[in-house]
Amino acid sequence: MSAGDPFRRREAADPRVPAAVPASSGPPPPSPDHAAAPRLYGPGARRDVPGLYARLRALGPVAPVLLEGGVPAWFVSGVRELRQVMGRPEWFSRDHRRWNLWDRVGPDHPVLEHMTVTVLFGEGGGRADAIGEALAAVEAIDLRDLALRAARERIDVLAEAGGADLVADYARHVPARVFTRLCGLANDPPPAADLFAAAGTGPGAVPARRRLHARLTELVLDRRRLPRADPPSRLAAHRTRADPEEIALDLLLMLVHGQGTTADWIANALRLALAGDGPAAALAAGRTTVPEFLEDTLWRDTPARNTVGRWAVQDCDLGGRRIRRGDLLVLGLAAAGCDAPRTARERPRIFFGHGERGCPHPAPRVAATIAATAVEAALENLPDLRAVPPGPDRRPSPWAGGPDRLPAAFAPRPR
Amino acid sequence: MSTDSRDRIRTSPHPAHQALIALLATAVPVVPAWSWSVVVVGESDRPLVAAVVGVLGAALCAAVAVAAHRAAAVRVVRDGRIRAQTAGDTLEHEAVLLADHLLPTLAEGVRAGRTAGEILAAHPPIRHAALDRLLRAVGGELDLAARRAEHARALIARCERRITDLDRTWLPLLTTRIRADRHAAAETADPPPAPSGHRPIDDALTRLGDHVRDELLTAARRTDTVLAATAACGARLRAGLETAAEHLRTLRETHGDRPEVREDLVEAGRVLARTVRIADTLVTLAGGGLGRRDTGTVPLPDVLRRATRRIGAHRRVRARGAEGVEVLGQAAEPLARVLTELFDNAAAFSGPDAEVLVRVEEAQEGVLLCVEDGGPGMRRREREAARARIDSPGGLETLDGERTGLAVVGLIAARHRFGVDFGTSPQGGLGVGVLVPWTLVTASGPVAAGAVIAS
Repeated sequence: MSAGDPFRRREAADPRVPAAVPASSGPPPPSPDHAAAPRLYGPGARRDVPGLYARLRALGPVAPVLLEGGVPAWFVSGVRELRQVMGRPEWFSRDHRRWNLWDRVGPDHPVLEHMTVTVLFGEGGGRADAIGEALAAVEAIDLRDLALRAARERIDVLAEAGGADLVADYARHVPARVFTRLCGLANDPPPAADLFAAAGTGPGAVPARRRLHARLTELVLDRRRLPRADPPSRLAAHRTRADPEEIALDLLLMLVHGQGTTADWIANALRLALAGDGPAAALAAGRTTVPEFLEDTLWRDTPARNTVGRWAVQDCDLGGRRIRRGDLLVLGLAAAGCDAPRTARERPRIFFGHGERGCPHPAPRVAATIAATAVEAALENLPDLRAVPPGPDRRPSPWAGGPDRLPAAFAPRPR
Repeated sequence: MSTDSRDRIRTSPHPAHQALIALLATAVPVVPAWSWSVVVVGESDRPLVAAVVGVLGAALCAAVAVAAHRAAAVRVVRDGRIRAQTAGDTLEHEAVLLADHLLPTLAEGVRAGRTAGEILAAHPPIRHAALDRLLRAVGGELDLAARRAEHARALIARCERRITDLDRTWLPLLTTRIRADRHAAAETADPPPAPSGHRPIDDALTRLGDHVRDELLTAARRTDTVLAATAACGARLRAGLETAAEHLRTLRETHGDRPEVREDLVEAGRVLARTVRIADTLVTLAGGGLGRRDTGTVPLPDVLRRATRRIGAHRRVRARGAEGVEVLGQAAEPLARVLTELFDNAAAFSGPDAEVLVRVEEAQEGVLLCVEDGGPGMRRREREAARARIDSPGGLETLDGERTGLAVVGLIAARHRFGVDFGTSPQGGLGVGVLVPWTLVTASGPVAAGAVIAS
């Protein structure tokens, strides 16, 4: 693991590791393509996110874009190009130290806030594999069972009220419960507020992650003494030489990232299911199954909308653009989803980080099982469920995943 | 046996000692006599006399010594015989005592839980050394055997207790835990019954317990996996059929006025509706969701129409009193499912032209729908079995044979709080009452009479 604060979603540069890019290469002159490139930040971008995507897609599958502080980057929104970028780690690295603008941006640049969890899932695949193994041992049916229990418990809490914010009261709770359980914290669960804060990007995120990390370290020590048939024990057994803090960090990332992304997915699916348009009507009429609807949700509104990203290892051509060595590529997953015609859709692998360096291999299955169970349980057990004013609210950002608020009403359960 | 004889036996001297004593005692007078005779005879006869008297004296001494030896030897033999006879008497006496009294008492006492030492202390000691040793050895063995038997009995008792615990406590607890929370049951083993203390048996029982637990967990997982996969496949099947039905509706809207295709389109729609019902049955019995959600309220006649569309004999169903009743969206589809199964059953068990009547009445608790047919009705036993099925509903995993209708009715009724009961219709056939509680239904307006609801 690199040095720096592991509790941030980004990885700080480690001074002990020599930079992959020779210092002599220096920042190249700005590409002429970026002269009038759309901005992926600022009030303009936040006001009209779909419009921004449309403008970017109009510029081609790989479009020039400016990030915070006018930092140039490439916005990849073509499905084919995304698959190329994600599927070839030897050409497009996840190591930000390859960035040819590294001298200009430095480790505290706001752009790096948009990075995915590269601490774990970065260049070294071994740790992600270990997490994958530990997760894969959880049987699909057990996972469904856990998710169903979590969903029903939540519904029992909400049922008599007749109304709820489906994001704060439901979508975040169900995956939090399941991942808490998977991480072995079910007997004495950490406060939900900590879990939600840790999954977010707010000011409370780092202290919450620190507290969870301390709990998980204790747990790993405990499991080393007395193993159980759960993922922390399997992870501890798999990585005998790693110190407990490191294993706890892996668990924390699974807890935080898995829970956050799945919650966003559930929230997005519920928002779309209550939208009242064609796909929502097809779902209500039973012409679409919930798992199909969830896949559709990924294409229409994926939780990980855009991520920073990948850095070109060498000069190359991509989507008709000349990419220089060390250029930053932003993965425009949400824009790619909107773009793809229905008939061209396949299993939505790209949204989970296509290729060798994607999410740990069982993660899509885990997330899909939890999300499908949670969405189906809500639609089945909250009768007459409908969105109510003021309607869904989402962070005005081209980066944020799910809605922040989804007020809904339903027929209260008779006492 | 007298003390005297014992002393004599003890004091009888060795024959050689006796011979020596006799020799010395004879020598005492012989030697002076020889000396005197040598002194009194003349000088010339002295050697001869010395020799003759010497020889005679020596012979006398020898004769006395030999006689003493013989006498002593005879005494020794006699003493030995007396001693042997006394010992024989003792042996016989004590052996009889041992065989007839002591050993049975010992065995009985040890069986009763006393130790051999305690029992023997209460009896006079055995004088015969070998018999005494024999008795003590037997006592020791009996003690040991008793201790072993006690140990074995305790072990058997503990093993029995442990096995009883396994059967009566542990196993029911385990199955309850697996039913309640399979994940927790898989992650943490509940403590097995207290160990019996015998390692091989404990180990074997622990292995047995682990094995049973694993098998139960696997079986529960498999059942759930089968159900979940069936529900998922059924839902996809249903979604595909519903999509096809939607296409067909569009087709009927655009081409419905063409007489050459109209009838086929209508019939295809009915076939699809009936097939959707089969997929619905599969999903419902596998524990899946409804798949369809109605918002607001749905008029009861629409619900009845939905139900009749899904059976073959749709023309035979008549409704009375359905007008003016509105069903909450959440109950519309479940009610349609329940009625579909009841209509289908009623149609199947009455004549091909007989009418199936559904009467709608207001009751105190809600709206009562009575589905009545003119068939043979149910015998008492059948009615009880049907009620039991409704009271404890189950899915595919508890299906009795291949008949699914009643299971579907039971599951949906339980989930949506409909009341279901079986009785006799006015025509003498079966009458099934479905009570929809007021929380799910509203009634307003007049009760209309007799309308054919088939499309």
